[in-house]
Amino acid sequence: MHSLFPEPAYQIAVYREPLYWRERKGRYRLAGSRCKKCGELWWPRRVSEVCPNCHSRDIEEYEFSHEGEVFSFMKDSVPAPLMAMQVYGRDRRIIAAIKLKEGVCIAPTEIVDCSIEELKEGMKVRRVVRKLRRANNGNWLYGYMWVPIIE
Amino acid sequence: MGRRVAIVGFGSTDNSYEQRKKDDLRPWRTKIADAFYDILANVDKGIDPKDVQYVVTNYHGEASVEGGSPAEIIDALGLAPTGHSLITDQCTGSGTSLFDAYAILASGLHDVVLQIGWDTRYDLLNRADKRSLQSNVDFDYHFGFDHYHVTDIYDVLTYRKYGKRDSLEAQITYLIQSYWYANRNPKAAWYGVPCPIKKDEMMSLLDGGQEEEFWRRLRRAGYLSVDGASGVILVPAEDAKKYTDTPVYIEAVSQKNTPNYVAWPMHYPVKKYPWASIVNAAPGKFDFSDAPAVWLSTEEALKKAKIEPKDADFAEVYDMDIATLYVNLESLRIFPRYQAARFIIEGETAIDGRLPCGTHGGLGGFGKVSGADFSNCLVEAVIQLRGEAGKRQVPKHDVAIVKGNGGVGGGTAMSSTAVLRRE
Repeated sequence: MHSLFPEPAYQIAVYREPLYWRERKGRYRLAGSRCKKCGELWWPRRVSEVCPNCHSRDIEEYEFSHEGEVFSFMKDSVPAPLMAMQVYGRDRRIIAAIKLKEGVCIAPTEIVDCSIEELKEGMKVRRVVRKLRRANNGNWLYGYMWVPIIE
Repeated sequence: MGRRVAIVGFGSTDNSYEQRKKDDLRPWRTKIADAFYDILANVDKGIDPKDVQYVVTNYHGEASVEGGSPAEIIDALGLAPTGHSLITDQCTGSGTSLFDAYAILASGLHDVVLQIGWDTRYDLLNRADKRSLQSNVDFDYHFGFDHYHVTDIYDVLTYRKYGKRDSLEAQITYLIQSYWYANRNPKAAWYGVPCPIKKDEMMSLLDGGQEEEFWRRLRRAGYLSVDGASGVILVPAEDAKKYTDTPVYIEAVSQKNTPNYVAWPMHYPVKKYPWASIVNAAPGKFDFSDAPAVWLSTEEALKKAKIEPKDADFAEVYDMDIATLYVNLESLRIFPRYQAARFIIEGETAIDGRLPCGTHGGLGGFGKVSGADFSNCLVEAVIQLRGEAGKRQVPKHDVAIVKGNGGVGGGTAMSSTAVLRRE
């Protein structure tokens, strides 16, 4: 392992950098899609630019609310030393489904900065951007995660 | 509807432990040839391999590098230059290939069509391809959570609907039942393997707060993933008696797909979409474990076959996890929604129950072969309908329903259903 990259260097071949670049708005700003004809919202974005609701191709970018509520959650119980520990550097994550204010769900996604005992269904959460893992070329990749809103 | 279609040949690889010990050096080409020659051997009055006019095969797919081309498979089967379509549709792939084979026959395009589902787990150059969601979808919004994590969330949603204790009791009941069936099926992976768990002990662990030990034992008893293949030969119904005196007829096949992104059906409100009413779930409670593809494919198949749910004598369904099994059973509408756990706990899926299910040992007990999951169920349904299942023969065997699922959307992004009937 190179000293510049103390994190585990193992990479899974199917990760592709262009894919991360293309989806950067979604990963950093929760940019999904809105159909201009019928108004339907879609997450993730409609890559094909087709609305399954009205079959229009008149699709625009729509930035979803950065707040939502916990629809369901659980502790990662899958023993995943390869995926979770070597690639993501951690195991036993909190997996969740988050319902955004628009009524659209994001799942699977991760809740951080919180123990599972503190979580409740319906709890308000907000989006944060965190380090996810290193790309094949050593760059850090970031992605959205969720933290509880303390009122 | 086109021509009526009959199954005259059926077969699969032998997944038993004794056979698997000999299989180390047998790659997927050998496995699909094994299945093909087993299918030929089961055509009662014989068939020349050269009579096969068209071939439809499938494997699980995703990104396995050596997935094979139609030409390679035709060569492995010794059937060159026969036409061939190769399908990848994950765990429901062999349902999709059956649909295509059925359509080719029913349309009159060909008169003898071979369908084979197959899969390989160990020849993959990149094993991670099998697990990574990135190879399932063309964007990455899963951030390292894979199929197995999604199944975990699916379980949590299931506990919420059915109650955790009932869900787990049903899981134990079904698992023990699968061992019972598998020990009466010489080709099953669990054949000769005693069931390592007892229901009373397991439920005591759960009720006594020893959940970690409960899960440890449950996982140890869990399913076995193997390489394998299985399939059928289809001919027009009017030709069936040339090949066998006991043909099995395909009354309908249906195939439905929904997206792999698991939260896709959870766009609220869902009232404007058809699935909320079809699955009989409250729109405000609707989530991806309600699996619209499963319900829609069942509904279409029953309608095409012109049968009522009460007509089904037994079912072979995708039963890899309890949540998927529930939705498959419930889509048959034999009992009310959210009663699947009680249905299983009360023994209704056992051989003397209302709807025997997973009689080859279930997908786990027979040997999980993703690309051949549906066709393994199909072959078992044909054996049962012909009354040739021996010690695991179900008492009433006139109409069978076969269901397969696949994909990441709770394991039910896509679904195939077939209705079979004997004469």
